[in-house]
Amino acid sequence: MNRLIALVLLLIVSLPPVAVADQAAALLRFAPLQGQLDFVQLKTVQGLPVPLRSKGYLQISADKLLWHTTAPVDTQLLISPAGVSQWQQQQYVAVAGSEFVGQLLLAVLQQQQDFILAHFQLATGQNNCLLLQPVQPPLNQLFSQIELCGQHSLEQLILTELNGNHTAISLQPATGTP
Amino acid sequence: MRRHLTLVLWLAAVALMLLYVLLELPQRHWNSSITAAMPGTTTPWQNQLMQQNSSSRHLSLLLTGQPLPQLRQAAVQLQQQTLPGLSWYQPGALMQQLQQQYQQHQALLASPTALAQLQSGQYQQLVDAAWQRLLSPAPLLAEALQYDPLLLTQQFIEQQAPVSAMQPRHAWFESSEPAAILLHASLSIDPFDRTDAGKLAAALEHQLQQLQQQDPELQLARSGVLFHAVNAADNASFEMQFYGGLSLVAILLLLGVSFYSIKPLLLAAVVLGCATLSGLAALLMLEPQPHVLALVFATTLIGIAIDYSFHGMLAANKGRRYFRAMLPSLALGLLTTLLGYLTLTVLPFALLNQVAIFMCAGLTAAFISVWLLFPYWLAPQSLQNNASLLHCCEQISSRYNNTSALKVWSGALLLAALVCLWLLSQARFVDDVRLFNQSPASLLAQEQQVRSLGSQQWDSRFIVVLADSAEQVLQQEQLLLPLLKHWQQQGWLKDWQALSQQLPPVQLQDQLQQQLQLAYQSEPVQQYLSQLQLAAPAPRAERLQPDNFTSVLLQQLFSLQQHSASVILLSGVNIPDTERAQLNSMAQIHWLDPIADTNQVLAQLRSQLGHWLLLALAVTLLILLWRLGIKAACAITLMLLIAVGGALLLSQLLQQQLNIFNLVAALLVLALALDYGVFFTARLSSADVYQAVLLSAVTSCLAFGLLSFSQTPAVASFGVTVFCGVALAALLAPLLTVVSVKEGNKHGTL
Repeated sequence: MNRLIALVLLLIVSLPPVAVADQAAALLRFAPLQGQLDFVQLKTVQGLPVPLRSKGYLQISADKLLWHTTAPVDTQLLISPAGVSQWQQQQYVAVAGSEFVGQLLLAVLQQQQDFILAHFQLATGQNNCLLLQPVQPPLNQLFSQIELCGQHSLEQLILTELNGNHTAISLQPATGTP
Repeated sequence: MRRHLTLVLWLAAVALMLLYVLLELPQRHWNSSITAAMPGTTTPWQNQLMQQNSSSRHLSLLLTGQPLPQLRQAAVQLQQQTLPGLSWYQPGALMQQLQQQYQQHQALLASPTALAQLQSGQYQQLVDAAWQRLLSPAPLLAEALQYDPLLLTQQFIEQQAPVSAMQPRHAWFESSEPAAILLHASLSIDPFDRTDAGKLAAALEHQLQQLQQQDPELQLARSGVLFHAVNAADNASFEMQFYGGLSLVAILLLLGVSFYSIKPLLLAAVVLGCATLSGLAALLMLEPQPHVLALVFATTLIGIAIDYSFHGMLAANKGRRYFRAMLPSLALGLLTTLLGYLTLTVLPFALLNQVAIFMCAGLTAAFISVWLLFPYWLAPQSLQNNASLLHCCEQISSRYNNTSALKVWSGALLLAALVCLWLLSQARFVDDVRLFNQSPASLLAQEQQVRSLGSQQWDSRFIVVLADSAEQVLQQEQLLLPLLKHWQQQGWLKDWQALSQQLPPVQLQDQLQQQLQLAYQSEPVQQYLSQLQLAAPAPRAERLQPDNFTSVLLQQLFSLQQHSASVILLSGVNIPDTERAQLNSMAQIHWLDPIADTNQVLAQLRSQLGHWLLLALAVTLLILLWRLGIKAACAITLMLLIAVGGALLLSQLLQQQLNIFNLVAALLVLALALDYGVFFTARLSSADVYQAVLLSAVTSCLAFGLLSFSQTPAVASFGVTVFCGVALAALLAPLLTVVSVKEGNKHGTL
């Protein structure tokens, strides 16, 4: 009898968090992105009269991401869990303090459940979008919200910074080789 | 009447000292820093700088052995329990604070590369870099484009933070592979203050033990001066109590065995009590912050002060006349010992000064107590000498006396020559202050573990920039940058940390503003600005200065009496001397190596002490010639030479090296051995002298011999040499009766 009561109590105690975690995980419905994708980025920066539009392609592999902007200027970034590195004078130069941005972009594009559930509170937004609200530093000191939108796969992500800047990145399958 | 008055005066003096010690002792703070005990640098600004330097007021804890979530939980638990005197760093918060300051002063800071490009008019490169940064999805500083469209300050910040395995989080650093959390804390207390540091370390240790009890898998590694200082202080305290207690017990047992009576024990206890009280009172009176190691050395007081009790007891037991006959020899013995210790007070060596103060006051009090109390408290023939001991002494005496004078002279001469030659060929002095104190291996391993994962692994050597103002200091630091970079490129320097890396001088900020205004007029930048539909910003009026800047690196800026100074921390230093010599040509730049400087002062002191030892031997010879005649003087000097030389030689053979503490000990051996020499050449009864010297030597050997087991190498070195010297002197001194005193002349007593 005591064992039965204990089991019932255990179930009562352990069910809610499991259920919450499952619900959150269920919201992550996008398939992980791999390979090459074209992107268009629209960056709205304080003090800039018009949003900054750029385009290029992404090369996503298991542990890194090549961010190649082709217009308006040709620039390359290598993004990995170690951070963002800029292509300067024929070599990648690490940007200090960008580790979390690197981890975040990889996690979002590859839909890494563990990272997302550990760092964000998930909610459903308008237009089939998923809202990610950072819950701990340093992400919550940089971003107020990250929005992931798309039907079956991730088609757009919007990074809203605390300082009012926001970046909308639209993704689509690659149209041709670069 | 006069007798009573003397006793009352003695009692009053003892009571006063006791009162003073009881009042002062609880308030006094004891120092445990080995460097504070060593000779310091002589330049006033260096001393000021070292006093203000707070590099020892930090500690780090590394948490490993569990997955990150559990480690985070443990770290939070640790930081939630506040400890007085300790505050945890919040690296994430500090970085955010720094970033906010930079954000408010955009366009006043630029990386050295950007500055060089501006100066050389390479505007297109600056524009390219700005585009690249602007198009990156990474967040930008607020109002970046309004004040700094080329994003120079943004890029300056991104080149600031070190890229390492440990990433800063809000309240700690952490790494995922391997899972580890590194906590840093600052201390508001002096880690070398025995009382405060002991309390804090105990409270912290209690918290750490609680954590480990909750989670046995959790591994903790400690790093910081606090742990080493508290360990050294605890060690010194334990040794002082253990060796002091052991010496006392052994000596009292010896007394019991010698006299079969409780009275000698009480008398000896009174003498030792008075001596200790006087030594402590003098130390507290003259030293604001006494060193715990001084007390470890001071336990040897027991070994010497008890000698006076032995001589006093044996003489008083024979009657007043014998006691009076013994007093001059005892006074001469005190005088020579005091001279030995007094020489230490003139050395610029805090530890030895304190030992000398304690010993001089203690021994004088012991002598006065014996002189005043023993004739009155010990009636003649009231003590029964241990017959076996007396018989044994007589046997030894007759054995020694059977030796021919010629054999003794030739043997002593030969032995002295051999010892001196061997010592000269073997002696190897090492003047390295680091060898004088040794932390436990486990603590050193933890320190290494923390340092291997943490980013702050600064060398004990550093560069000091000295100038009239903080602004000039920062300008000088900037001038030094090319040389530091050159050393880094050559692999002679791994890294450095200077305040000007975070806070450029106002002069540079002015220059940047001027250069930027020129850049904004250039074609590439004009084109860039028009693409962004931005206007060129106006020059900024405000400047970032030490007064309106907050950073941990400000701890590297010091305000001295007439100067400002900054410290440039270095890591992975392997700079050739020829390269380092370039700093000598820079008037306001100084290379500081506190360990090497202390070692150099130690080497000078050691050489000075060596000369003093020879001088002391020469002066002793002259005094003995005057008081005892040529034969006795030469005999005693030979004995001293063998005892002192032999002690150093044996120390060299046992330790494989010698240090300044062996030489200090040699001075003490000279003083103690001289005592034995004086008694054996005095016209006193052989058996009494044997008994007194035998007891003295045994007690001294016990007191000093025990020190040779000390965990502190400096104390152990001292103990080994005095033990060997006293043992040799006690073995050789009886031969002095053979060569200097005829048996028929012995009619007195001690």
